Amino acid sequence: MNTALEARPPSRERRTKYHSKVQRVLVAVDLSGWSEATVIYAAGIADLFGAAVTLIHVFDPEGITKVAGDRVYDSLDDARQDAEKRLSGLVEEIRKFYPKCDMEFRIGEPAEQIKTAALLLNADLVVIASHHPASALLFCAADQAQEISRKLNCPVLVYNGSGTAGDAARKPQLMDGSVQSPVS
Amino acid sequence: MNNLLETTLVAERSIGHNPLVKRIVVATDLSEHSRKATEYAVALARRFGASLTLVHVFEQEQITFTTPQVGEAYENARHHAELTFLGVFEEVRQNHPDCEMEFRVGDPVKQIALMASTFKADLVVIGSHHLRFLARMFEADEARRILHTIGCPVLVYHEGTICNADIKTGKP
Repeated sequence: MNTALEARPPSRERRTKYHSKVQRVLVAVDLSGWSEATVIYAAGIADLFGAAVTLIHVFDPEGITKVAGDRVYDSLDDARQDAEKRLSGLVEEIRKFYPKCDMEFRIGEPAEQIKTAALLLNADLVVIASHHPASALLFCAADQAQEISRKLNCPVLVYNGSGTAGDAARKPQLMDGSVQSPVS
Repeated sequence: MNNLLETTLVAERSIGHNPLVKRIVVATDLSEHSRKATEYAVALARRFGASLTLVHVFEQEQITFTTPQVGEAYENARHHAELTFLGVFEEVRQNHPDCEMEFRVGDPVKQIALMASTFKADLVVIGSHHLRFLARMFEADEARRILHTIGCPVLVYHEGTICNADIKTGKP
């Protein structure tokens, strides 16, 4: 009797309890050399779920030294345009092997903008490199847990460049065949 | 022709040969939130076809056992945690047989990092409720140090995560 019961297929409740659904992966990139490896990793996960990948780069004007004068505005604008162009270039590279890829270029404070985009895009997973300026702010400290959980309601995967623990020497290859470590 | 070949090579290197996830280590503090994080990890393990290792670290308090009663209470608490953990493990194993458990005593960060290294984990899943761990992670330098020690990606499962739309709708 017990054997027959145990042999039954899992109940609907049990099946759904352990079922995950990932339809959109949001990848935060800072456009450093390591961004490509992070996106490739994220695309690998997305591929498994058939999910779309959105690359997000947040241009942070506060992160650029402020100097008075019109020239600065030109420089800021140039910097913004350059960042947007580089993000487009990265998206094009990724689309060569993962077509379900688009981009989101935002201006502001990185952690806030990433959280906002995750909500607006209904992301199921946020992937961010460990060295990204916003990564620590997405972890949430004990006293900020409630505030952040209201804003970000999906898991955050922190990619640190190593594929397997205990095998830190093995680094994923970038598309140009080079190897780069995010940990300085 | 060359372009086509290069594109194919890039795709193979990027997706087909992605190391991705063969073993997931999930850290649980036996709280309700950790249970949800564990369920999420099980779902990922199923999707990846990965092995799962459940880790619970019983924190060793820096106390002096002044009386036998204090020592006994500590032992009872440890035994209770071990039994609770066993219950969680059995439930998970019914749904994902490729699963094992590790009950550890000591500092959670060090033990989780050690387990990730020992089992050559490809992914560590941890609930955002794991306060001791995350309080240290929140310090940028410490986070980098921990991540470097762990040596594999870490997925932080947030309290408000809607891990399964199907649960909400009740549809299979």
